[in-house]
Amino acid sequence: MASRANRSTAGTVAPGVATPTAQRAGLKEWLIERLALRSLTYEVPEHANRLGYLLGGATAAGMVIVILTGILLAQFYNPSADQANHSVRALTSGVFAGGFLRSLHVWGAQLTVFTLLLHLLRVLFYGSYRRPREANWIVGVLLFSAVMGFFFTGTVLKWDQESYEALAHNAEIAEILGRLGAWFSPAFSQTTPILTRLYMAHVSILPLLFALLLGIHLFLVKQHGISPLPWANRKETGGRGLAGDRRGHPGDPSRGPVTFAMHLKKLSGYVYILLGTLVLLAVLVPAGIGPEPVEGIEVTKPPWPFLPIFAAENWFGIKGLLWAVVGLEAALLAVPFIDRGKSAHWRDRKGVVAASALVLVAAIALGLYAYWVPPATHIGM
Amino acid sequence: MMIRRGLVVAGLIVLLAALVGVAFAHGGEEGEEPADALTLLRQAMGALTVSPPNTGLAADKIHDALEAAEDPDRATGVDPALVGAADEALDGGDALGALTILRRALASASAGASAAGGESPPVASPAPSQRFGEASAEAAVASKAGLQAIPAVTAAIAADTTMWEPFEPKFTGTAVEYFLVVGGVALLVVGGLIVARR
Repeated sequence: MASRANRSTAGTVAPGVATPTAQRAGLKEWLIERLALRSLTYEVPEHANRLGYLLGGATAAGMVIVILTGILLAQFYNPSADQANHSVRALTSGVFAGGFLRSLHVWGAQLTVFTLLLHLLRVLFYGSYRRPREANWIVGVLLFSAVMGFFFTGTVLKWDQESYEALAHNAEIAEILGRLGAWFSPAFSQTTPILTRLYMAHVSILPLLFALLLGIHLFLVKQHGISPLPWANRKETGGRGLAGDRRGHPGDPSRGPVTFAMHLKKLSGYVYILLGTLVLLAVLVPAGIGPEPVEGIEVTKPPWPFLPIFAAENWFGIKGLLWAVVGLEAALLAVPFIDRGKSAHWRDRKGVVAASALVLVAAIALGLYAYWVPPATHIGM
Repeated sequence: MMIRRGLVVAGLIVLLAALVGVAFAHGGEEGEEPADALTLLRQAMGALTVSPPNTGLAADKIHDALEAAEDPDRATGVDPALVGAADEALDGGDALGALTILRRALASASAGASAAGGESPPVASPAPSQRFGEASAEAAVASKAGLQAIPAVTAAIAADTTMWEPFEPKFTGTAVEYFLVVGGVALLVVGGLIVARR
């Protein structure tokens, strides 16, 4: 505060005395320096601010929401089979904001998987997995697997009829896999039931794995740069292939270069939209839970991300389910080693683009088929 | 490079062939039928609770429950009259009516057991918690020794027939809910403004 002694006769503040505006500027500068925020102002391509290139960030933001709500839910969840379902009901109806938190968690998981699938498809169709990004694509596929692992274990934890049948499928697959599936078998541990072990995987193994893979994924994105658009000048993509383009596009010179900080700001807008959507869904369509499970029937179907492979089970049994998952995973991992041409333009990748489109259409069709048909019995219950 | 790509494609073809090769393993083995009528009724309820209801499976389970109800050892906690009424409702195409009657039948089973002087209400056999919740006899002993769930709570949960119903909360229009709706819309607007800015 300027003291009376420091004021000039004209009533203005004397030099050397900080005004409120200057104080705020000082605080901003203090934070920028201490948090090294200037390191975020490196240039990125203008197309980095397109929605297609923000889906990965939106997925990561969705995971943060799911993890935060999950930590709160874990304070009230009991992972023993005779109390799990009841603890979820008690949390929903007896804990302040418990139902809202659970609904945020459930809808957050749905939307995160949705944005993840969009992100995967964008990378696939744009050929962003090509040299030098093959390793990052593999890390991405492993991340996708980890998120699906989260979704599966989360489905089991609520311990209703759907959960029980999901776990029964898991046990059948473990039996088919033999020693490879030992961990997934109820007989693996003599002291800890499988529901408790899946809970442990959901809250510790998978989060650690996810954090490690995400760290590697983001590091590689930083090192290689944002991948170029596939319809960029073909001459630019010759030679080494799709090296990272870190320069701002000419575009409108008056707008100046696009920085990573601006990319984050744009991403924050989509995160607000994601969060707003989740809040509305959580309030208007709150998450429920099915009845406690009863053995001996198979009457439920899996959640929507697993419906396409459920169709394989309906036609080919449990082994069909297993091979569908293995086949899909293998095909995804093999993509960068099959599509190794110099140009990422769609005209130069017709085979891969067509095959990917065909698989996508088939997956949607199989999912719709699985949605409409009644479940058949596959498990020796 | 061509050889490598060919090997990768060949590997994928082998995988796809294996998918077809192990195909037609359709139709799982039926497990051992549960002996008691109560479990059969719970299975029938499970078949009717899903959307769309599996009326064929429910009818089979109700018929099996009626047969089990004729055996005193397997009829514990079941009112044959109500089970018969549920069967008739289902035969008439009234799945919702059959489900309502089954709920009454199971609720009366729980009430009857409680009135019998503190006996534990009948539970489904085998309980799902036994298949996946307790991996060994040693774990069961540990449970009885109080090393796991609080026994009184477990018993109360087992007696609570509402656990056999789905729990489906709804939007009820309270002030807090409307406040959250407004908050959600505000977040959408803020996000949209940020995204729209050049």
